[in-house]
Amino acid sequence: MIDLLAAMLASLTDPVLLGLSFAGVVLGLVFGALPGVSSTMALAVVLPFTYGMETPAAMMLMLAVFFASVYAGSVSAILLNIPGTPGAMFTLLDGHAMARKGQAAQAMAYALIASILGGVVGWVLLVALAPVIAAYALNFGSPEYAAVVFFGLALVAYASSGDTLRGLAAGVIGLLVGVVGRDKVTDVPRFTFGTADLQGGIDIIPLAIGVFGIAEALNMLSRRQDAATAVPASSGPTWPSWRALMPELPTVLRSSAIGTFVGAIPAAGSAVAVALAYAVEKRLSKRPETFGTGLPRGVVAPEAANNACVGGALIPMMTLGIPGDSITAVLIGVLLLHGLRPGPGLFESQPDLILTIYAALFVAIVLTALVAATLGISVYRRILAIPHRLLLSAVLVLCVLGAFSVRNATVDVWVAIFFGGVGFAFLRLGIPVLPLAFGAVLGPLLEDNLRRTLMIHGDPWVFFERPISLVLVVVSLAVLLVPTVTSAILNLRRERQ
Amino acid sequence: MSPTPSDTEARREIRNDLVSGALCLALSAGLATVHFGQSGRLHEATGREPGPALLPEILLLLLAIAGAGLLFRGLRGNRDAGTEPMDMRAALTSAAPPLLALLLLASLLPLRSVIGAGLAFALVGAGLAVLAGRGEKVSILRTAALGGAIAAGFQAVFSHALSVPL
Repeated sequence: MIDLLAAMLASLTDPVLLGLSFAGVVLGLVFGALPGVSSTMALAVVLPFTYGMETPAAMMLMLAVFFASVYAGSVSAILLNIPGTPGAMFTLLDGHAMARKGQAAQAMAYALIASILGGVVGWVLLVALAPVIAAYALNFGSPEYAAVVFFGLALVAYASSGDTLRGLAAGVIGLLVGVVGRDKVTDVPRFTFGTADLQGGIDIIPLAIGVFGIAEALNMLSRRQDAATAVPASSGPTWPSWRALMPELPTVLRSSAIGTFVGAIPAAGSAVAVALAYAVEKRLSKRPETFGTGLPRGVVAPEAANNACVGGALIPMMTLGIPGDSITAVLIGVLLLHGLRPGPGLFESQPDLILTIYAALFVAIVLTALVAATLGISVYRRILAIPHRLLLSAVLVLCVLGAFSVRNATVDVWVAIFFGGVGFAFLRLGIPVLPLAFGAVLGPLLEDNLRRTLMIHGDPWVFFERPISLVLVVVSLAVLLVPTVTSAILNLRRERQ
Repeated sequence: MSPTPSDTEARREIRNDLVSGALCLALSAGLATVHFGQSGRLHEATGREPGPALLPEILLLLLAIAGAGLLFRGLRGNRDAGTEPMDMRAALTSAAPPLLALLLLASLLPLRSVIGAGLAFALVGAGLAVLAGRGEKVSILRTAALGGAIAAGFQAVFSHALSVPL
């Protein structure tokens, strides 16, 4: 605890780190508030600026963008009835209804308070649970680790779009991308198509820039944007009184707990968390029919949940090296770029970095609270007026610049453009892009541990002889097979009738 | 009788299943040809289980199974939905601007070596801004100038402030 306080103090007193976090918060607020610009796209755009930084500085900037953009998704949800990020899709139900009643500032105050409290709860659970899980995971052998990776991929295939078969196809393609290049053990080239550029494999950062940055921008480009909606008039910032706020605190705690635990499940993401938090509050309410009519609780529940997801998503990333969502997949890429492989070993080899990550998230929460509290609706009105045509052009150019800057190599630009096209095709075909990135991140990890297991034990049955790997493999197979088989049986029954 | 939105959605899902299934099968077959066509040590090493071909072969098989599953589901859905032809025109029309944007991005590297990085980024930035602003009631020239200026500005920042050798 003293070490953690010292790390937080060091971050708060270091002007460079503090400045980076502040810049990240401002960028996150701007990007998150813009409709259609997701937190992942914001991170893909900011990514190239971190290449020359030390790891703590890079994490400071990235986590600030991450947290602030998740909160700012509520701004366009409340003011324009368009969710800025997927995590804000339930905020608009009551948030925009409040705005229509002339209570936009009150809705934004509730959203900010809930986001900050949700972020703090997620942070506390991250700090409390991550070392325990990492200590447990340190005892994992290669069969358990291979099974954990398989479990993560199965959850991603299942949860990322609701269509397991398409998710599975995307995940397998991602894993195939992960095996491109020379094999580490035998030095044999695989899927290199005779080019020297692919001998070292496909770097995860250009791939992430392609599938999350370029593909999303292309998808926005394919849709004609609606004309700017008028921002409802409202009085200045209006903070709720303690008396109005106190009844919302149980909602904050419940929704934050839901957000953290859902966020920790790979690929479940903030969209699932907010839906669950909103549904729970509606069910617990004595007057569920008032939800959607401009109820502050309808803003508080999703906002607490989506910001708590940030801490939750960092738990599997830091303890097991498995991304909790698309943003943590990018963060893993940043750590790999700095020569660090996230996972339980990081807690032993880089304890200072772990404390810095905790501190970075905490500083980001505090700065988001301070900066967002001082911004009035007039500032957001200006942000929302940025023309989409210039924004999209800038995002695409930054993606290319970012891909090139990874290693100053043109092949990375081609990789980013290629996967931008692939990601766009996936989006158009209803195939989730998340499993593709997950597969590419986890492919080498899965192969290393699978081969090590088979080399040591010589028999694939070892996965069914050890309790942890047995449970993980059986649950993974169930997650992959049960929905597909059930749907096929239901279809057959329907046909017979 | 005109199709309802749920009919349209269902037909879109069928089309998506058919296209993604066919693509997965084609990708699996193509990569399998590359993989098994590769001579020498890749397959020799497979003899020493677990060799470098183990995971790729498992993955190619899984991809083929997923592709066949998607194709099967699409074909069944298509049979159930009747013989009404699918309207691909709208899907192709809305995909044209993104494809054009990809081409513009792909032209950056060759353009860079011909006219220099600054001008290449300005041109591509201008093109992208015009493409994104299509249909809006704004001056094309102004949009192009602003888009080009922003792209050239970013190129300058990366080149001079971040020392990226563009």
